[in-house]
Amino acid sequence: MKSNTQGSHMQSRFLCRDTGRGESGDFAKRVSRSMRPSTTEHPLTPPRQFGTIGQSELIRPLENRAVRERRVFKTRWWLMSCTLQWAVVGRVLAIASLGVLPAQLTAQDPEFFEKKVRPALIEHCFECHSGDAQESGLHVDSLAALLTGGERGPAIVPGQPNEGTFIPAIRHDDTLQMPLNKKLPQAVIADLTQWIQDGAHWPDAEPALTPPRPITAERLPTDEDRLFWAFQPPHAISVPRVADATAWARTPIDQFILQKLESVQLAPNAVADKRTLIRRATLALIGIPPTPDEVHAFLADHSPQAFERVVDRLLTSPHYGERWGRHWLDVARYGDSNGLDENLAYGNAWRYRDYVVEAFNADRPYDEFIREQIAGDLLPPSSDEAVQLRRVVATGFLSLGSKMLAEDDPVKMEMDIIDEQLDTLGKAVMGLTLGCARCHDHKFDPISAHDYYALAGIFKSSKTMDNFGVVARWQERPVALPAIVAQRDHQLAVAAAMQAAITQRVQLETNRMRTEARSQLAAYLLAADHQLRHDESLQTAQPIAEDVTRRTASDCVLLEAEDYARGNALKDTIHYGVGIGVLLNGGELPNFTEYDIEIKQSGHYQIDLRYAAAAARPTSIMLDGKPIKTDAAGQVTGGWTPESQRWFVEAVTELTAGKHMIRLENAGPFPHIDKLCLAPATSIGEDQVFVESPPSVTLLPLIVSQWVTFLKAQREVIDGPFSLWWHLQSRGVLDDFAGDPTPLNAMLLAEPQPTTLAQLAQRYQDLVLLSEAAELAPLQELIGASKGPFSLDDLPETALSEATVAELKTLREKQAEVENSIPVIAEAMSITDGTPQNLRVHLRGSHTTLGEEVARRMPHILAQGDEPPIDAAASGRLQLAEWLTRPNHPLTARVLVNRVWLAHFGDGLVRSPDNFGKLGEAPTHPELLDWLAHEFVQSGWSIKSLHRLILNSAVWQQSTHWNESTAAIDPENRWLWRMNRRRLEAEAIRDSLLAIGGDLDTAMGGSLLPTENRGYVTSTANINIEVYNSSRRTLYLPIVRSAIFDYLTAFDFGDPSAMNGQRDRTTVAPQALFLMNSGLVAKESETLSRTLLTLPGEDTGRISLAFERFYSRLPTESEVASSLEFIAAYEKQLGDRGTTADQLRPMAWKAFCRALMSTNEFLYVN
Amino acid sequence: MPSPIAMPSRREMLQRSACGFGAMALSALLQQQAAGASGPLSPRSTHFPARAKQVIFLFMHGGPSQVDTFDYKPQLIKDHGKPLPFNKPRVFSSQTGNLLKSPWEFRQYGESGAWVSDLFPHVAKHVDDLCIINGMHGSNSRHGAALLELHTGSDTFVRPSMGAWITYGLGTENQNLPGFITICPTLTHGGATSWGSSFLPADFQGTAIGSAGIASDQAKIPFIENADHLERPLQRQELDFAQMLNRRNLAEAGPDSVLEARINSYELAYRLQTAAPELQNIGDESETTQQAYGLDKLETKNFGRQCLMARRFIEQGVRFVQCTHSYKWDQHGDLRVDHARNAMEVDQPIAALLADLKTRGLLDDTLILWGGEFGRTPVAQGDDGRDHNPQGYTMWLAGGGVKPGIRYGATDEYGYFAVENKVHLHDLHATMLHLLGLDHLKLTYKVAGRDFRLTDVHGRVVSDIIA
Repeated sequence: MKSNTQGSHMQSRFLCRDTGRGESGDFAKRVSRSMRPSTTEHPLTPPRQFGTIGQSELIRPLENRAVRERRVFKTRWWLMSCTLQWAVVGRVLAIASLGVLPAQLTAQDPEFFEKKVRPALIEHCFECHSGDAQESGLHVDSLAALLTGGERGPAIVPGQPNEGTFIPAIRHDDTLQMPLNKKLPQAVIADLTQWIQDGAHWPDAEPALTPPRPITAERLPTDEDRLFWAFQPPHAISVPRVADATAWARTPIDQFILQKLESVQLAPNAVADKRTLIRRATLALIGIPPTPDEVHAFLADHSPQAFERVVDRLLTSPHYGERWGRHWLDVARYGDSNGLDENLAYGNAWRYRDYVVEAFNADRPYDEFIREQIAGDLLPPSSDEAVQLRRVVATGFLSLGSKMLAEDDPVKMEMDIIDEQLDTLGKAVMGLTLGCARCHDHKFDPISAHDYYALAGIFKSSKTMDNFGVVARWQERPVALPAIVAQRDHQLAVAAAMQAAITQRVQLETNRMRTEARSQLAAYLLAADHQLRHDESLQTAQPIAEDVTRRTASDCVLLEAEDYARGNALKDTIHYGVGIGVLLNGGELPNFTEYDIEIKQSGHYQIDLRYAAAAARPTSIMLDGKPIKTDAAGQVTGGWTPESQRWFVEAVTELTAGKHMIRLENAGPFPHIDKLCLAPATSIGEDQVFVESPPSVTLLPLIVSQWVTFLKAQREVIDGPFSLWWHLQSRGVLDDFAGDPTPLNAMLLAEPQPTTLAQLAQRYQDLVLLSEAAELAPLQELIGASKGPFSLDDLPETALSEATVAELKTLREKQAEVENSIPVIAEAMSITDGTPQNLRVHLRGSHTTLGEEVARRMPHILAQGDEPPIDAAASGRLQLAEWLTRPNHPLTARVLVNRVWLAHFGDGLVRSPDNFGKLGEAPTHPELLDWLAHEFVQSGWSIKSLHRLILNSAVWQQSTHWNESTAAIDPENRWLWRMNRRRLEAEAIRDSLLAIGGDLDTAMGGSLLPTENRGYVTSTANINIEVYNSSRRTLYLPIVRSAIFDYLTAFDFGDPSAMNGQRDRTTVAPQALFLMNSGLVAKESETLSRTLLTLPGEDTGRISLAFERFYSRLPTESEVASSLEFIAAYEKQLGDRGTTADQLRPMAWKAFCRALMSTNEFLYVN
Repeated sequence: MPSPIAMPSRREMLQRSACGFGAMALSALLQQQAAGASGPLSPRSTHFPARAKQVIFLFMHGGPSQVDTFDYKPQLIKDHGKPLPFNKPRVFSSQTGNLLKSPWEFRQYGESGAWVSDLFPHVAKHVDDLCIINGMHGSNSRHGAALLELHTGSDTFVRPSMGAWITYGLGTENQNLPGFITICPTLTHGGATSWGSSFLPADFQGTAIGSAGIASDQAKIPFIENADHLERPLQRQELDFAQMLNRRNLAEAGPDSVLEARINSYELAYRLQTAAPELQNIGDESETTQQAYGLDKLETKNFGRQCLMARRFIEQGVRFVQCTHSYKWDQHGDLRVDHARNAMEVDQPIAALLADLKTRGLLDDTLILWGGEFGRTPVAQGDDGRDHNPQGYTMWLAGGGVKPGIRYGATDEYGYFAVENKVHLHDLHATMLHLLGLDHLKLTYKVAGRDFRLTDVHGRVVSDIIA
C-alpha cells in the first residue's frame, strides 16, 4: 500500500503548476511580498531614469483623498517601495480634480498618460508586477519593462495593441486574464488600448530600443538524468545460475524468476494440472475457452511437446489476432467516433482495427508494425500491392484519437490534436508521459518543453486534418493503387462536368424566368401591395371556423386536410390522435395537396386553416392557380401533436359561385394541417381588402413573397425609391407629395402623372425596363440585388418549365449512369506529410504566448547522437519511426515485452506499463526485462516467439495455489511464487458466453457501425442498440466514444479516448445485473440448455458436459448431486407456480445454465 | 502535512470489494488491511467538516441566457439596437449583431430584492434561498467542450466527471443504491463522459437512468429488469445455486478478496433490483406533492418527475444526482418562444424541489446547483436569438452551506463579460468540493505519472459565498 501521507504532501510537486488563468497562488503571500521595500533589482528592471523622476522627489506627502481611502497595505507599499511615478500621479490627479485638464486629450499627450495610463497601471497592476513583485517575470513600471515583457514574451508592441500579452490579458481574451478575478472597466481598457495604439508614449522615457526577447533557457539532461535505468539501452544479460534450476526451471525466464524467489527464500508453485493449463492458454491466446474435444485431445497427448503443440495451434488460429489485436487497440485508444463533442462516426476506423488483427495474425515484426503506423506513407515503396495499401491504413493510428471537432479556436484545435498524438505515441511506444511537457519542462523526467515542441513540430509538419473549421474534417486517403485512383478521379471529373451542365441549364432557365418576372414588375408590385394590405387587415380577423355554429352554416366549406383530391403529402390518422387525420411531412417534396370545392354564392370568403407546428413552415395557398397567400400556416403553435392545433385566418378572397380549386404547396414539408375552412367573410370590411383587385397574370409565389418583404422594408426608408409608392398607398393621391424631389421621384412623377397605384406601378416598370438613366441606379441596384425581390435562389426546381424539368431529368439519369460506374474506392483515416515547419515553444502550453523556435529532433535524453538531422523538406516522421525502432532504443522493446508480460500475468515486470519514467514503478525483475527485450529484438521482433518463450516457462505454467506463509511475505505476488488468478476482460466474457452457448459468429473483420462515415453517431434520442445484439466477437462491436455500450462500460472496458495499457478489474453491481438479467445471458442459456437436452443419455452426462464447457473440467460427484437437486427443486417451484408440465424441464435447465454463467469459476482464469 | 482522508491506492481500490463485508473479514486474514478498510463506495471521512452531504445538479443543456433570466441589465434595455461599444471576444461561435434587450420584464423579489425575469416566476419566490453567481465564466464557446468543462473540468481531454470525483471522495451512504445517479442525461456533446469515471475505477461512474429523449417515467437502470421477466423467488433460487458453487470455488481457491467481493456483488445487485424501481415509483407521493412538482401538467411533468426522483434519491443517501433538461436552451433563434417554453417546463418543478427539500429539512445539507454549460450573448444573432457566451453568465446555488439570498459577482453593463468577482468553472468545482468537506487540492488520483484533480491546476474556493 502506498502511503497516503506521501501522496498528500508531495502533492504540490506532483501537480502541474498554474497555467495562467486560474489563481492557486496565495493572495496574502503576494501582499506581504509586495509590502516589502524593493531592495534588489531584477536583471530585467531597466535603469531608473526610464520614465521616472529624480531620486530627490521620491518621498512626498500624499495628500490625495482617494489614496487615503485605499487599503492600508497599499499605502504602505507605496510609501515603502517608493515608486517614483507616484509623485507625478499625485500631482496630476490634483490638477485633474481642479478641472485643469484639457477637454480633448490625445494619447500622445503626456497628460493622457498621467491621467489615464499610469494611475491604471498602479492601481491594477503594480501589486504583482513592479518593484520586487514580478509575477511571471513581468514588470509594468517602465516602458522598457513592458517592451521586454516576461516569460510569455513582450507585454506590448507600440502601435499594435493586439500584439503582446498586455491587452489580450486585460481584455480577458484567452486563458491569461488580468487582473485576476476581476476585469477592468471597459473605459480603462479602451484608454490603455488607445495608448498602445498611439505608440505607447511614456513621458521622459528614452526611446526604447526593441529589447531582446527573453530567452527561456532549455533544460538539458544532466549526467545523473542519463543514469536512470529506462534511458539506457537494454544490456545483454547472461542468464543467472540458480541452485534449484533443474527441478523447477524450464527456461531462462524461470532462472531469473527463481533467482529472485531464492533470494527472498520463497518457493514457487508446481505446474498446474493439464485442464487448468489448456483453459488458461486458450483464453490467454484466443479469448474463448477450449472445447471439451480440445481438452480431451490435450489430455490424451502424453508427449513432452503436448503443451507446445497446443500453444502452436492457438498461435495459428485467426482468433489469436482478434484477441491480441484488441490488447494493442487499448494502447492505440481505438474508437469508432471522435467522441468529446459533436461525435461523428469514424466510419473507416475499422480498417485500422482489421489491419491490427491481421498484423498480429501474420506476426508482423513489431518494429515494422510501429514504422507502418507512424510513417507508413513515407516508407520506401513496396512492389507488393497489399503492403502498399495496408500502410495507408496503418497511419490511422495517429489519426483516430478522440478530438474536439467543434472548437472555435482553430489553432487550439490543431495543437490539441498534435498533443493527443504525441501523448499517445509517447506512452504507447516508449512508456513516456511526453504530454506532461506541453506546458513546461516535465516535472520528473528529463523531457523539456523544447523536446516536446521539437517532436510536436514533426506532427505540425504532418497532415491529419483537411481543415480546422467547425465541424472540422479529418483526412482520409484512398486505399487503392494510384492507377485506380486516377481512373476514379477521371470519372469523378466527368460526373462533375455533367453536374456543371445541369447547374448551367437551371441557371439559364432561372435567368429566363427572372427576365420574364422583371418584365412583370408592375404586376408583382401590385400583388405584393395587395397581399401586404390583405395581411394587415387580417390581423384583426377571427377564424370563423372556430365557431361551430358558424362553420356549420350552409355557406361554409369545411374540409379535412387529408381528404385531398390530388397531392403527395402523407396522411396520418394514428400517431397524432386516433381518428384525427392530419397532413404529415415526408414523401416527395415539394409537398402539395389540391381540393376541388364548390361555392354556392359569390362573395368574399375567408380561408381558415387549423394546424399544429413546432417550427414555422410557411405554405402557399393558390386559388385556381393564382397565389393568394405565400406564408400561410407559418406560425409556431407549440408542438406537432393535436393538442397544439389551432385555427388561423389565412386569407380573404373573392369567389364566384361555382367550382374552384384550392392548392396548398410547400417546397419543404408541410406543417401538420388538420382542416381547411372557407366561410363568408364577415369580420373584414370589403374596402379594407380590395382597394384594387389583384393582378390577373400568373405570378411566381416566391417572387410575390419576396416583393412583400421588400416592399415592407421600403416603407421605413425615408426618401427611398418607394417613398412615392407608400405615399400614394397611404394617402390615395400624389398631389400633396412633399417628400424629397429626388431625381427618381421626378422621373416617376413625369407627365402624364400617375394617379393610381396601377399607373404608378406601370411607371416603375417602364423606368426599370426601358431607361438606363443614372438617376435610376439606386433603384436598379435595389431590385436587382442578389438577395433582392427578383432573386430565384430559393426557387424549387419543380417550379421550372415542364420542358426544363424533363430535360433535367434526362441529364440527371445520364449523370447517375456515370456515377454508378465510378469504382468505389475504400478510404481510410490516414496521415501524410504537410508543410514542414518548426514550432515555437508554447509558454505554459498556450498558443497565444510563444517562446523560441525549436528545430524538429528527437528528445535529448533518448537521442544517441548519431541520428541524422531532420530534412528541412520533410516532416521528420520517417526519422522518428526509424529512430523508435532502432534495436538499441532504450524503451521500445522493453515497453512491448512488458505489455505482453502484463497480459499473461496480470501485472507487468514494470507495474506502470504506460510510464517507464521516474514516477513509474521500477521493474521487479530488471534483468529479466532486459533479457526479454534483447531476445525479442534478436527474434526479429516476433511477438509470437515471445508468447512461446513465456508460455513454455514454469513460472507461467505454475498453479494459482494459495500458500499462507508465502502470501504473508509477498502478498502482492511481486516475485511470482504463484500464477495470478484473473477475471476475464469484457470481450472474453461475452465471447465465451456466445461460444459456450453455441451462437458465436466467427466471421472476421468489417464494420458493424450503422452510421455512415462522418455521420452523427449519437443523437439525443437514441443509440442503435440492435447492433450490440450481434453474435460477432465483441471486438467488432462499434466503440462509440462518449456512448460506450453499457455492457462494456460495466466490465471495465475503460475510456477509449485515452490509451490504456492496463484495464481496471472492478467488481461492481452492474456486472452482476448483466449476468443475472441481460438478454444475452438469457439467450445463451436458452441455446445451451436446448443443446444439452437434445443429447442422448443421462442427466448426469448433461451436467458433466455443461461443466466442461464452462470450466474445462468435470464436476465432482457432489456437484452433480447439487445440480440435480437444484434442477428438481426449480422444476417443483415452477410447477407450484402453475408452469405447464412440458415447460418445467426446459426452463429448469435454462436456469441451471444461467446460474453457471454467474459463477466465479467461469469468470476467472486459474 | 498528512492527509486526514485515507485514499486507497489504485491497486487497492481495484482489489477491494464493492460491497464491503467480505473484504473486511478477509482483510484480517490477509493481515494487510488496516481496521476500517472497506469497499470503495463506503462512506469516507472528509478533509474538514462538510457543509453539504449531497448534490443535486439541475443541468440546463444548451445554455440559458443570463440576461433573460437572473442577470438584470438596465443598460442593455437602454441601448437596445446599438452596437456593442467594446470588442467581442477573440474567439466566438457565430456572428452576432447589435445589442438585444430582454423580451421579458424583470422584477424584484423577496427580502433580498433580487431581480428575476418573468421567465422564472416560481423560482423567483425562492430568491432568498438562492446564491446567484452572476460572474460565472468558462473557457470554451462550443457545446461539446463547454459541457465537458462543466462536468469534468477539462475542455480538451476526457477526465472523470465531478460526480465521479465526489463519489470517489465521499463514497455513498446507501449500499443498496449507486452513489452517483444521472437522470435522463444527454448523449450528445460528450455524452457518457459527463457521468463517466475516466481513469477513476468503474465503481465511481454515474449510473444513468434513461437518457435524453426517453420520458422520465420510462427511464430505467441498465439490466435492472430480467430479460425473461423471471419472478423473484425463481431468480433467488437460481442465485442461491450459483452462490453455492461460488462459495465452494472460493473454499478451494484459498482466501481471495476479489472472489469474495463478487459473491457479495450479486447480493447487492439482487437488492438493487428491488430498491431502485421502488424509489423511481412515485406512486406513494401525495397528490399535492405530485401537483406541486407539476406532474399533472403536460409541460412540467417530465422535468417535474426528474426533480421528484432526485429528492427521493437524495433522501436515500445518494451522493450526487443530476437532472438534465436536455439540449433545449440553445436559442440562436426563436428566443422568445423557446426560452419561454423551456423556462415553463422547469420553473415550477425546480421551485417545488426547493420548497420540498426545505420542508423536509434536507436543503441544509443538500447543495443545489442550477445552470447550463454557458450563457448567451447580450448581442443578437438574427433578430430573435443569442449566441453562446462562456465569457460571463449566471449559475445559482442553494442550500448546502452557501449564503442564501445573495448575488455574487457581476458582468459588465450589458451582461457580456464577467468583470467582478469572477467565478470560473474551476472555482465552482473547488467551492463545491469545499462545501462537501473536500479540499480540491487534496482530492487527487495518480495516473500516468502524475496526480490529477477535478480542478486540474486551477481552482479557487469562493469563500465569499460560503455561509
